This record gives sequence, structure tokens and C-alpha cells, in this order.
Amino acid sequence: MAEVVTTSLNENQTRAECAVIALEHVSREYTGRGASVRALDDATFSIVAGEWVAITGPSGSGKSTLVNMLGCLDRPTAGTLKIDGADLAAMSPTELDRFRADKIGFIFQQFHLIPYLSALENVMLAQYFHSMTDEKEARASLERVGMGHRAQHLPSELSGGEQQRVCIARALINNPPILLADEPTGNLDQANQKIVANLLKDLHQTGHTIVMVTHDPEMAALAQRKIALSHGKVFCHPIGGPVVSLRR
Amino acid sequence: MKLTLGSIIRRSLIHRRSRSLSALTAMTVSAGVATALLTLYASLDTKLHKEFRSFGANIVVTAPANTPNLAEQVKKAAGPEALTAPFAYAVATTDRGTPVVVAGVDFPAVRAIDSTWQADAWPTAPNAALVGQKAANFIADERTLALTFAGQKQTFASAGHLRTGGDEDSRIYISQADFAGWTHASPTVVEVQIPGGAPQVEAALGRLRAQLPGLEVEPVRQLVEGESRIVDKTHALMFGAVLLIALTVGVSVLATLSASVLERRRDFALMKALGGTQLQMMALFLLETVLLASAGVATGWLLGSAAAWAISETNFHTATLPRPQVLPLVLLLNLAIAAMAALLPARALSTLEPASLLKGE
Amino acid sequence: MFLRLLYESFARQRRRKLLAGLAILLGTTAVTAMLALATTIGDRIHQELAVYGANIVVTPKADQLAVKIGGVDIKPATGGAYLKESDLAKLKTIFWANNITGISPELPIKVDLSIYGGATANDLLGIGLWFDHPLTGGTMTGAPQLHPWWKIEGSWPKGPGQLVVGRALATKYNIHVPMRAGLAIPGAQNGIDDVVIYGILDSGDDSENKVFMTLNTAQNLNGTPDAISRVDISAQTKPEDAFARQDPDTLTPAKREIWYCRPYANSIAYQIREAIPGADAQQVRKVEQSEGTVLERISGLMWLISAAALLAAGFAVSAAMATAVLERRGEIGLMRSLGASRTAIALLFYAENGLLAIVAGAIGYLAGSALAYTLGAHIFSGVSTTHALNPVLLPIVVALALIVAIAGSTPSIRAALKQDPSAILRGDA
Repeated sequence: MAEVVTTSLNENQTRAECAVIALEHVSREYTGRGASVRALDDATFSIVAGEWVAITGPSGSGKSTLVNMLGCLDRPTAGTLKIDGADLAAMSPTELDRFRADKIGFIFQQFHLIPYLSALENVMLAQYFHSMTDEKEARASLERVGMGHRAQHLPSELSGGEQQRVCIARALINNPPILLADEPTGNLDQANQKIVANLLKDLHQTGHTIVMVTHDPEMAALAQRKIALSHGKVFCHPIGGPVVSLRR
Repeated sequence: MKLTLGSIIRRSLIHRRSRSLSALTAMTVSAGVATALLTLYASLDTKLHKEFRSFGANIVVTAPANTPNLAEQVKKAAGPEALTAPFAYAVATTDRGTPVVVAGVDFPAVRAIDSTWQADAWPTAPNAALVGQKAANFIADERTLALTFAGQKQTFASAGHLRTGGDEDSRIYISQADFAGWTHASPTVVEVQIPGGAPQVEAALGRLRAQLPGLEVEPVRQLVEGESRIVDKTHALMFGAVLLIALTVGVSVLATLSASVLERRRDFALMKALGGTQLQMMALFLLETVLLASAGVATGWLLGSAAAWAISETNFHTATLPRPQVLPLVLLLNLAIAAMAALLPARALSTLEPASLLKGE
Repeated sequence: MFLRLLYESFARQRRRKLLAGLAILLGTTAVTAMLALATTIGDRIHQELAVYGANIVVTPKADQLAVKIGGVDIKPATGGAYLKESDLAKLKTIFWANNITGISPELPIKVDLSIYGGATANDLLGIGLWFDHPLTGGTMTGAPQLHPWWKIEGSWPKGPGQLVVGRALATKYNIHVPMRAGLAIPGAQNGIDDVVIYGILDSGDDSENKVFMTLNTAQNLNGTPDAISRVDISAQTKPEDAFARQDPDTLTPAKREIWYCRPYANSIAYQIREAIPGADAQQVRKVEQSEGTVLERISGLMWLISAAALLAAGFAVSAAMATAVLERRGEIGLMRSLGASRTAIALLFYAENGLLAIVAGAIGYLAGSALAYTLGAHIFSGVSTTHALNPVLLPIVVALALIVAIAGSTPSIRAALKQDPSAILRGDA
């Protein structure tokens, strides 16, 4: 399934049909202390399988709101959001928890590893909440991110880059259709950023859909497509046209 | 290697050692206090009733003169737990010619039942007498105490004076054997002391009246009524105290547990993001709480029983043995407190917004 | 700036402060209530123990030897020695006058009672007593107060010409209240007085065979004005210890002074002997000694439970305090990184917790006092002689709250200050 990257879409297919993520007039409003704030305003776009999309925008532009909804951690107040063909609005909170475990692999800026579990156990934790634990698979996942030799270490014994790689291994473990990376290199130095970037490239090559929020133009440049947000509005997303590879 | 709910909890408890310890301490204190108070509470009535026994007899049986085997009959009817003391009375004259009441008693029995009598020395030798402090004023020679009854003169040796502040101060007490040999009269009054409260006294009254028809059996009314009232009141007071303290300890557990949840909001948020359901989160948290509560009960029961023993020993001078019966109640109480304390944070968990937490707030 | 920080902390963290405040509030409530109950339990139990009757009995020193068996006087009363009723006023002058809660003088006489249209009962034992006699401070005293187990059908005599008879007599002579009768002294020549029987007494003892009248009536009938032959006194005493049993006349003057100024039954009896000429005052050992032990046990129990409450409250408050500090480790780290000294931060936290302790402690004091008052009133009937608010407890309770709050938060403040601020801020502490 390699080399899907540069293929253009079949003109007869509508984008919405083969999209893993589809937003139609999605808005998210927060109300509190009397006033209401529209963090995301009438967003309509879709992301197809195998795509690598970068979401950019300054602080307060609605990036986090968008990511939370894409990660099934939050739901729109208006419009429809479909992930892998399923409408989030129709799901109960418990179904949503289940759905999230199935569909989304999270990569966090702050890694969020449970401090008292080893690298291996942290990966297995995702298995545990998804279905059942399988140490072999978890080890394989760690090997894949080059962390096999540190499986028994606690997060506090790992460097930032290593922690992030464990986090990626955890995101991959249940084979989710979507990898959601929120500033994956935000807390890393140059060397580690390079390692993580290469890892993501590798994952993309093998067909993973990656949605990545980033500030870093260098990272954004790795993606095939950019969705830029400003003041809650999506203003830059080439839809309909062929998906252009930005890789040089 | 497997990752289970149990191992997650175990690792989590060990990792946050100080926090787990403080939660455990809170649980131990609550279980300990509950155990101590409940143990004391359970034996309070018995202990207080025992203290009231120093007031003396709570039933008095009066018989016509020359009732055969009165003391034995009463003793049998009153039951093995009761104390009885027979009294035989006669009016004799002293060496100064003053009439005085002489009583024939069983000294050890009287001593047991009327523990507040203050005697210089209790007579043991034959023909020894215990002389009331007022009666002593009407006797010329106490060393050879000559008393005359119906023309029969008998000499006794005074063993010492008796002080009670009551009618006894005006009497002279001699042993039953000496009395019978001298006056040929048998006991007419038997003082009975029934251990326990009003129901036990009522039951004994019924038994005595049924088995000894023709005898006058009367309770010492003010004693029985007053005793029940004071015991009940102390009981109620104790109950109030137990509730109050349980409430205080409950808040302490609440504070500790809710802090433990707040501290780990991020962990819970992450688990939610990884697909952990509401139910699993709750189970994780509740199980952890139950584990702590049970451990707290185990140590708390031991400490509480020791405390109850110490309190009993200092206050009532009798030991209170640990009561395994309170264990289920303490466990239930502790679990209830823990569940209540866990409910609030658990509710907070259900409304948890993993999104904002994972962003680092 | 310090005050501003303090103010902001309270204004912003209302929920967290609430929990810590609640813990202190409940803790002080529990401790105040228990202490308030423990300090007043003595009085309350003493009131309850009044049912056992007088604990001091005063008789004429020159009295003849009583020949009583089972409460029945076998020897006919012949004159005998008397005390003076007017001397009882001197009881108010003794050192422990305020501890005397009841006085009941009596004068036994022989009477003949003739029921109009019925039988005549000769040679009955009549007793003159006080009924509702004013004691100090507006309270009343007399025989009914010293014999709480007496139950009256009808009413107590209020003046001459009014009688109460015992239940046994009433049954025997078919007496109902009110009923007219004639009263006379056996063998006396001054005729028969018209009287009305206003009450029937149930006592459960030999008093049911007696006739009761006011003390004045008995004195006039007997021709012995101002005479009384026995006084029952109920006094609040300190339980007897080894020192109390000493003979005051063998003590050194200094020790004697101490003995004299302690409310032992013995010293009160000694003072009564001093005050009333010709009187012999003795403690009723059965009542006095037993009351002493019961009182000691119950108040001991209350004090020990108060200690348990204190312990529990201490744990509650320190746990809540520790929590409040732990939750704000991030803030501590930030302050440290901004260059605040450890002392300044500790001071801020102590000031916060101290303020909380004082406010919550004061409210807890009020709540606890109210609770103790209601609990006391609910459990113990009768008028409480103490006020709901015991001002002595306020500083004690608030100081305890303060100490516990500061001691409870010290370990967590120290721990938080010891940590590397950057570690706290990174969140991996």
C-alpha cells in the first residue's frame, strides 16, 4: 500500500465518500460567564485516507478546538462531523469512548505517559482500554519506533524524544485509521525533532493518515496539505483539486 | 506479563506513596476511632451498671420472723449472678442501759453488697462486733462490749467503728452465728443486688415474687429508676459523640481522596483519550478506594481495640476485650465514608474534559 | 502585594478553600461540642443523681440513739434533742454555700387522724416538712426536691390545715382527695383541728404510712416552735480522694486551709457543723461515694471521647490542609522561579491557613456550642444552669484550630518548598 501519496483522486468519486474525516458547517461554541465564544465557525472540509495534513494557525485561532473534535474528545455544537463514515452526534458517551479507542491514535506535545508504568506498559495500557493486552505486539510497536531496548524503563528515565517515541508507539498499537499529532515536536530539541519527523514520514509512507497540528513551518512543510485557521475560520484548504505532494 | 486493573492500581498506589499513605492514615484513623467508640459503646451499659452497684441492694425482701431458710430461698430464687445479704435484727440494751439495734449479718456478704460502708476493720473472730459510730457514744466499755437481750447477757469485742451516714451508724453488727446462738432469731430481711439494668431487676422481682409467696419483695425504686435514666442518657450522649466524630473523620477522608483525584486528573484524562470508558475509570478509582478502606479497617480495628482497652482500663479499671463483632460494622461505615468521599471526585471525573487537561490546562 | 496575594487566593480558590474550611469547621464543631459537654457533664449528672436523695444529713448532736429497723422507729419518740429551723439561714454563710442545692428539714410527730364519717387512725407518724421553700437565687427547695422519686396525687400542703397522706394509709382508710378530716396530737387536750387532705403520696417505701404537713403546722401541733430534728442536704461535691479522708484537725494549718476550701462532702459537713450549733453533719456514704464514682466515670468517659474527637479533628484538618497545599505546588514552583524566598512563600501559605483556621474555628465554636446546647437539652431534661456559650472555650478552640492547621500544613509546605521549582513546573514531579 505504499506510494498512495501522489496519486490523484478519481474524478468520479466525491471527496466526501472516501474521506476518513468529513466536516460540514461545523461550529463549536463555548458559553461561560454570560458570554459565548465561537471557537470554530462554520468549518467545512474533509481529509481522505492516507493524507498527511498540517493544521496551522496562531494561538486562539481554534486549532485546539478543531483537534479535540477530530480526536472525538469534543463534539460540535452545530453541523455534522463524520469520522470514518460515522456521525459523532449519534453516539453515546460510552460509544464515543469506544470509537475513539478504535479510530484515533494520539500523539501529544507533552507525551502524557503514566509515570508509574514502564514504556512497554504504557503501550499496553492503550491495548488494555482497546481490547486486550498483548505483550508481543506492544514490543513490536516499540521496536518500530526504535525503542525496543528501553521497554522496561519508566518515563522519568527516558529523554523527551524517547518519551515521544513511546507515545507514538502507543498511538500505533491498535492500528487506528487516523493518527492525531498535537504539536508532536513542540517540546523537543532539533535532533529529536528530526527523529520524530522521520518517524512520521515513515508512517505516512506506509499509508497512515496523519493529522498534525504544528507551529513549526519546517514540520508543516512535510505535510501534503495545510489547513490554516484564523479567528475560528478555516480559510485555506485546497479542496476538489488534486492532492499535491509538497514533498520535494 | 499482563496489564490488569489490579496491576495498574498496585503500581499507582506504590508510585504515589505519600499520598496513598495519607489516604490510608485517614482511613485507619476513621476505622480506629469507629472501632474504639463502638467497642466502648457496646460494653458501656454493662460497665455503667457495674458502677451503680456501689449504691447497694436494688431489691429488698422482708419476711415475717422465724421464716426457715430465708437466705437460702432468696439466694436460689434470685439466681446465681445476684448478691444477697441476710439481716437479722434484735433490740438489746447496752451497758449504759440504752436500747440499741443489734444486727446479725454475714460480714463478707454485707461487705460485697454495701461497698460504701466504711469500717475500721471487718470482724472475723467469733464474738467480734462492728459498732456504728453513733451507737459507740452509748457504750461505756467497747473492749468488753456487754449487751443484754431478753435477760441474756453476752459480751463482744469491738473490732472497730462503722461509718455510713445512715441508720447503720446507730446499730451494732455481729456475725450471724453469734446472733443466732444468742437471740435464737433468724434473718427477716434479705438485701438483693441484681446485676444489670431495669429489665434484669424486673425479671428478678417477678422470679422472687413467684417463688417466695407471702414475702414482701420490693425494688429500691429510686435506685432502679435513676440508674436506668443515667445509663440511657450517657448512652445517648455517646451516640451523639460517635456520629459527630464519624462526620469529622468523613470530611478528612473526603479531603484526602478528592485531592488524590484532582492530582491525577491528567492520568484519568489520558486513559479516557485512550478509550477507557466511564465505567472503567470509576471502577479503577472505586476499587482503589475500597482497597485503601479495607486496609484501613484492618489496621484501624487493631488500633481502635487497643484504644478502647486503654480507655476502659484508665476510666473503668476493667479491660474491654476486642470485639470482632464490630468489624463488619466498621468496615461498612468505612466503606460508606469512602464511597461518599469517592462519589464527589468520581462525579468530577465523569464531567472531566480530557481535551483541556491534555493541552496542559 | 502580600495582602493582595492573600486576598486573591481566597477570592479565586473558593471551592478548594471551602473543603479545608469545612474540615476545620467540622473539627472545631466536634471538639467544642465535646468539650462543652465534658465541662458541664458533672453538673448535669449531679442533677440526675439527685434522685438518690441527700448526700449530707444533719442531726442534733445530743440526739438519743435511734432504734429503727427497716425505717420503723421501734422506740417511742420522747422529746429528744432538736435543732433550730432559724439556724438553717446560717447555711448560706458557709464557704461552700453555693454548692448546697437542696435543704429539707423535718420534724416527726405522732398524730391521730379522724376521717369525718369514717374511721380514726391513731398514733400515726406525722412529718412536718418544707414545701417550696425559697433557696438562694430564686430556686425553691424542700422535701419534694430532695425526694424526686416521690409522686403526688393532688397537691402538696401549702399552709396550716392542709395534709398529704401516704398511699398505704389512703388505701387502708379509703381516702380520696380532697377530703376533710380531723387532726390531733395523741392524748393532747387542745382539741381537734379541721384539716383537708389535698394529696396522696406514692413513694415506694415506708413513707406511704405517714402523714405529711408543713413544718410550721407540725411545730405548732407539737408545741415546739422552731424545732427540727433532722435536715437532709443535697450538695455538689468533689469526689472523695485520700486527702478528703484526712481529719482536718490533725492537718497543718496550711493543709487544713486547702482541705477546707475543697468541696469535699467531708469539708462541707465540717463547715455545717461549725455553722450550726449542736449539729452533727455526716455524709451519707452510700449516696456520696456512689455518686462520686459514677460522676467520675461518666465525666472521665466524656473527656476521653473529647480527646478522641480532638485526634480525629486534628487528622481531618491536617489532611485537608496538606491537600490544599499539594494542589498548589504549581503555584509554589512559579513563585520560586520568580525569585520569591522560601520564607516569603511559607509565610503566605501559613497566613492563608491561619486566617482560614481562625474564621472557620470561630464559626465552628458557635456551631459546636449550639450543638452541645441542643444535645444537652435534648438528652438531659431540666433547666441547664450553664449558658450555651462558654467564653473560655473560644480561645482554646480557635488556638487549637490554628495549631492544627499550621502543624498540618507544615509537612506539605516543606515538601513543596524542597522540590526543584522547574520540576514542579514541568509537571513531572
